Amino acid sequence: MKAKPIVTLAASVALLLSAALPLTSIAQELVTPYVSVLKGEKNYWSGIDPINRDGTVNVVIEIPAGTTAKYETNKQTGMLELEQKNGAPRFVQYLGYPANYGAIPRSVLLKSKGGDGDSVDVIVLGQAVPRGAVVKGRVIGMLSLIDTGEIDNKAIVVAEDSPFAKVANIADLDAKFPGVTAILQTWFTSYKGYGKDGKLMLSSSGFKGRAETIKFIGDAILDFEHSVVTEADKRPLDEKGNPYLYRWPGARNVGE
Amino acid sequence: MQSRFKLSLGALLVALALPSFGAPPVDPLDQKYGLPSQPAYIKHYEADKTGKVLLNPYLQVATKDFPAVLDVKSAPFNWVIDMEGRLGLIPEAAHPLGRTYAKGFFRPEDKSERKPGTRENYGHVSSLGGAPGRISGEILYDKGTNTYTINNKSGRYTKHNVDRTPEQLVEAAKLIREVVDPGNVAWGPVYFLLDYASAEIREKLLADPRLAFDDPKKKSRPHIVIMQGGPAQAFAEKPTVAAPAPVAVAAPAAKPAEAAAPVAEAPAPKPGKAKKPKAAQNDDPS
Repeated sequence: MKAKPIVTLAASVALLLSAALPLTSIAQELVTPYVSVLKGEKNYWSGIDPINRDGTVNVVIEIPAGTTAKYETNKQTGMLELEQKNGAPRFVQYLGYPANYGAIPRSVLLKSKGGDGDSVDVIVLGQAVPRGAVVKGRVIGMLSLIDTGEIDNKAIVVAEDSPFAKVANIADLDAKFPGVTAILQTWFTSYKGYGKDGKLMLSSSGFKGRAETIKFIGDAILDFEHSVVTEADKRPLDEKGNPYLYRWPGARNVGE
Repeated sequence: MQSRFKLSLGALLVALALPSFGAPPVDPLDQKYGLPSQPAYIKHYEADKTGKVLLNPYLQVATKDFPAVLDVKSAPFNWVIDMEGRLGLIPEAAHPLGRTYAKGFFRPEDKSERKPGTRENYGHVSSLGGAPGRISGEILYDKGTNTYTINNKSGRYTKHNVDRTPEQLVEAAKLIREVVDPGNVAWGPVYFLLDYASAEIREKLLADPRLAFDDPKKKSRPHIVIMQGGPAQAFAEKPTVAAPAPVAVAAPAAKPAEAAAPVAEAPAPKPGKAKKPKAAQNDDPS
């Protein structure tokens, strides 16, 4: 999918302001009030199907492999947005992401179920792709992660037409690509560094299997659909509360 | 004279060859799994207002390279053979556009009646988005015998199709056993349900000595076991290589790779207490 990067007015304003400031403060001003968003042809949060008829999932790439800028999908605008932390753009202070990283559209990990209210996070194994690309791939498992006490699992997907495309599950990944699971586990548990207690802020108990991952993703997609569907979206009932017979154009309509 | 003979012979050969040129190519999948057919019907909640049939979010499309995995906690499952001969597999789940009817419902248009508590679930069509499919059915988990049984119960793609046969169900069951990882559960019998067969096949099978019923007194759910159970084949998801522990990470040590854990938490069968598995899950006609 094509995407149009839009640098907002804030960046231009920042540049103008910086020109009027003394040299000592220029570098600081050039960096901090910077906002960058990426608008796709469709809404990245709700405008793309999460799964396909061939059993693959769609993943919106928020952070391409090898990069450090922390973009995420804005639920209100449906655009990718560079995260801000304490008024500054957020870049991972570590090595670049070891793989493409993104989210499954039309999915939500409900806070009421211990999630963070965001989409399902996904690590996509394959060639680096641009931010905003929508990648089709197969689910092979999940990296179990705890971030300062909260569940922060990352589904692992192998991209179609990539060297990983034939990997069927985590055991298969280890057999065919030695070290990948160790790299992922090490990177994701280390990139945030140590907490005040001197321990790494993220911890992992390892990898979960496909059955559990498919359920995890399916639940999140279903929770999204349930959260957006209203009674007005459903077909009306008759005055006695019975559904009407529905004749779909693509069916033979022989009755239920 | 000789040239006239050659001409006649040529015309004869052309005439003989013509029918084979005109005949459409036969898809071997049509014989193996039945002709692809449009769904017999789509339930009122299965398509959104734009007419799009929603996919079941737990959909797995199983192939030899990417076997589907079953978890007893998600059973029962619906299966469908698609146009390309691939196996689609979905668990039952509440449809976001559906409702639960505390008092059941009665629909005068087709005199359809449902029991109280009926919940509108994703059906077979949600594994194909409403596209044409071949023979279809269910995979049920039988706790007593710790087995998965397979049947042909689908109101969309099996019933109302005159060409669905027991032989096609055998072929489908072979494919299922080949491309589905049942975890620690064995495969049980394969049931051909007569209520989902054409009138002609049903009549023929009613005279079959293998004919059985879920309840012989009520003669409910007539069926024929067309394939016996058997052990599940070993799948690669069962561990061959464990994931190495991360290096220099203070976090708790990593557990072995996913596959080190049992794929499915299935209780062992209790000898002597096992009941005969049912041929079908319920009497919902879909």
